[in-house]
Amino acid sequence: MEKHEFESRVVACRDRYYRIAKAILVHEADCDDAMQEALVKAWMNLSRLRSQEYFETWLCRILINECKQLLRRHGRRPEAALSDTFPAQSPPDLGLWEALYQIDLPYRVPLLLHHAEKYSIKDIAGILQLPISTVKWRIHHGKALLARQLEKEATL
Amino acid sequence: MKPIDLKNAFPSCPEHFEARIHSTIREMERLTMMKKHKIRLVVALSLALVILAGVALAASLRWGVLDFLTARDESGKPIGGDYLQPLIQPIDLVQKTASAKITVLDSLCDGTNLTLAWTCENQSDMDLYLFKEISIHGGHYMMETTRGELDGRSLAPGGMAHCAESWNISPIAPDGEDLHVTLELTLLRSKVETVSVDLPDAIASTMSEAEWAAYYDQYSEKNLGGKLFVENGMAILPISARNDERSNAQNFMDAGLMELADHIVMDVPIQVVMQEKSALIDGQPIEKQMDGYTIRVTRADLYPNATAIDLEYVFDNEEAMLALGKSRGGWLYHENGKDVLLLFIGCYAGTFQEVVSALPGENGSPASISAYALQGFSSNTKEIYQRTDGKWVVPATQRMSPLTFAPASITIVPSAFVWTSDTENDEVQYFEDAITLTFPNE
Repeated sequence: MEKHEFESRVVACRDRYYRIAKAILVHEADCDDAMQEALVKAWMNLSRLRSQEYFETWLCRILINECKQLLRRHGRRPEAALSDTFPAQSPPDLGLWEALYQIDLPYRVPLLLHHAEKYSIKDIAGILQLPISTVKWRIHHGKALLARQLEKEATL
Repeated sequence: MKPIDLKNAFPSCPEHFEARIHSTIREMERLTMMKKHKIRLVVALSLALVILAGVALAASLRWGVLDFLTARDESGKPIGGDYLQPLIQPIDLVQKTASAKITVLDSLCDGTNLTLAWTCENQSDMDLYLFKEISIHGGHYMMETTRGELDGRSLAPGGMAHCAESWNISPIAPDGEDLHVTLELTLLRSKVETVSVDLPDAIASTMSEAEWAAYYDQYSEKNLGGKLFVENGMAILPISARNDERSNAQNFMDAGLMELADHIVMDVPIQVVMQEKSALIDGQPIEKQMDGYTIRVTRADLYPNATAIDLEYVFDNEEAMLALGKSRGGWLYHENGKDVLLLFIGCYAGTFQEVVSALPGENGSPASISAYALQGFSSNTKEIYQRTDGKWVVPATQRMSPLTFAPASITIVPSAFVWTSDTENDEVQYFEDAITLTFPNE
């Protein structure tokens, strides 16, 4: 894959990669750092990609791994106010973001990948290196947690 | 729960995020230019891509290249690949050291694809960490790999790592060529306290916020304090110790985390077995008129473990070539609110890519198109050019390996990546036309 195509395919999915990084790392600067590290690794290991058809999914997996690496390095930073984590532009539904963020990471990421990014259960299992049954459970349980969180917010 | 669009929890990608994407890709170019040694390596790799690497640690499995290459059904039975068995060359080369026993088991090389299987047994009383580098030599051909997925794999006392790797080797190694693989294994042992953890399953869902934060904090580089962090059986090199100019083994030693236990170099002779056949009759190109262009197949070779197809998309004139892209919606991508035609600097792999389906052959096992696609392939295109008769040609190549069944025919379905504003993704659009290449029965 040439660099121009690499760039165009990454840019074409920039919203997806941003959402994934944001859902894990929250802080904008961390999202930028994780994306940068993921891109460098993807570029250096392109020859290992067995089928370029799966480039976007492959990069998604690398990005998630980089996000986890950053979490390990930085630990979890305290958030004074979640709304402050969007310095440039607020999401259409800030309440939904706050509810989503209250869900533990092991449930938040599969939920996002399935319901926002439309990945199949099988793809998510591949991306997260988890058994299919675990992914199904996490999505199912994540939905329940999100519903509970939204109800809680509605009563406030 | 009512249907909720989770995308509404996020704004669109902010400018700084996209800017970082562009600046990173620019930076990569600069780094590549600086590393001349690396450039040489990349050129070598482009001729001989490492396309697959893996390791399994189940000691109970019979192990060899066929086990590595073939998928398994739900009962664990191998799917396909039986016809490859006679082509597999047993090697059984053993080398013992004070701490380990390495056994190179067997190989399969059909001239375009090489697969090698070996095991490494820890015969010491300490955990060992495995690192490998491999190079392939033969006639006009030389390749070096970069470090593989094995790097940092831990091996408990008495444990055995089952390893295999497969390379697409081009240019083709002639039949009978004196081909050698140099297998270089470095075994390290930890000098410091080891902290093992299995992620992400170790993240219990019942953890409180505070527990969760504390959990991650204990594995931060700051708090590891010179300990060796092993995640899911892989030693993790601290970010601060990474140096791409050196091997990973050297990085671990330089960081003071590990020390050398053994260094093993094995020279493995490889026997090349060629059994190729072509779908072209007397080497004559196959042409088919499609909707708005002609496909011209100039090479269609089937090897036991790979296929090699060269083809050209021929247009009457430049306008026809550009019009096809526009009318199909392909070859375009979206940048800053505008459609950009990719053809201005050539046709890139993936923007005009063929999806190749295969029909099961006499010797092969039934396989679905999707199963075949998962076998993986690489694809390269050359630059678009204008022929002397005024026609425009978009060349393309397909190299697919490793194959684990022998297709009786291959169908090429042209496709293009299409930007869809609805999903903000690029999707593959398949054209209606197709061309089928049939291989002779022998």
